[in-house]
Amino acid sequence: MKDLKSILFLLITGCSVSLYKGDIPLLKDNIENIKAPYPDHPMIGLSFDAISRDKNAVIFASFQGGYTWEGGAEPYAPPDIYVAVETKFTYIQGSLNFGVLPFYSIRPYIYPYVGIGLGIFSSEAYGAYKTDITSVIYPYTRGGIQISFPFSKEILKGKKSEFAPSLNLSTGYQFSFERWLQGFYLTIGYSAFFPPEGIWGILLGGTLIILGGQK
Amino acid sequence: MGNFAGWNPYNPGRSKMKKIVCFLPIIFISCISIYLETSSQILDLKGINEEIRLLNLSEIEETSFGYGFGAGFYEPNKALLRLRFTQQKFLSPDRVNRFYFQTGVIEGGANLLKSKIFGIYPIVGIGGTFQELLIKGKSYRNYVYPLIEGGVEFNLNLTREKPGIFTLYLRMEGIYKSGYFLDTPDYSDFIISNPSKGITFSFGLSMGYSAEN
Repeated sequence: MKDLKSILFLLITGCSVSLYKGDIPLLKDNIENIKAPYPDHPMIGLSFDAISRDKNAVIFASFQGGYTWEGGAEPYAPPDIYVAVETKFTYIQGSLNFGVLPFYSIRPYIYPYVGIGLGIFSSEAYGAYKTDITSVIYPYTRGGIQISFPFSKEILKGKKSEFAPSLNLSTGYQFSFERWLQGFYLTIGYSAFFPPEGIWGILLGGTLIILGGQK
Repeated sequence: MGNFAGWNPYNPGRSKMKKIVCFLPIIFISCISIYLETSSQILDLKGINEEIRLLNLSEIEETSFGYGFGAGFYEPNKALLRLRFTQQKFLSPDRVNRFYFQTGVIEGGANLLKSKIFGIYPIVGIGGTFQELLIKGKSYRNYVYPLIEGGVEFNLNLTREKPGIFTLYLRMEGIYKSGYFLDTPDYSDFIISNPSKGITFSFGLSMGYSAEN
């Protein structure tokens, strides 16, 4: 019961804000062809990170979701009739990541990591004459640097992870196979420290959510 | 007598089976690793460039820069087994025409040196490749064709502690793929490409977690 309360507490406090400067070259041409606007600014969203540390190894599951929108007006009929056009991007993705602590004694933890994951990307572009709706599942990989400061003396002393929230800053670059959602990202906020077995449970749940979300 | 302890004259296959059964736990207690790499590739694109020449467009250069990623098992002093995806982008000099060469392979190798710090692995792999050609705003994609590869990989394990393992690696390999056409989905148009062969140079890092303490 105590563990369940801890998990619920962490699900609420384990979230951070994510900014994603992604580029989708495959879609750019399609969107511009139907005279819809292409959102160039970063996607804003939420990130949930479940982290576990065991000596010099860090495993973490990371889930992000984000949204961006761009609107405008395009000439529809001469001489000066305009029609509203808009494009919406939405994504949800999850990954398993491994990091290795180069320095044991330094607090907070600073470590490089690499990860692989799966995501769903959805684009809705309403152009002047045509509509282009795309939804795909894409695999991706990412690499970056993360800084974690857990609110637990035991974890900071070097013991195995237990339930505890932490402050988290993560930045890196994401590569996406088939060129979906590729670019720099930054997440800042809270993350949740779990015992190692908790990570696998979260990861399995996240995969089911992502695969279940495909239409 | 000790030399013949594993030998059963009535059932010679049994000792082999015993070795296989003994090897399986090695895979499962090995480090689970994730790989991220950059790579450059030289690919024979004669067939595609002949087609592009017929259209009076700029030809694709045969050297590219790409990346790869994967996951697998890694035992620093023994062997590695991984599933890896790569994507290479070949461009024309004016950057208008593009050729994407994507692969997914399962590959493995055994460490010749049996050292936990430095490893030399002859690598063999088999998988599939998917290609896409973008010329004059039109996309030509082919089916997934088989691919084989072979080469050598050098590993340097930078961690002395466990369970976290951080490794740098350098790999050189030759690739060969079958398949002849890049088709459009409606079969009305296609580009003839010869079976591609090439050389890849990859530099990457792997990070992983070893359950063995």
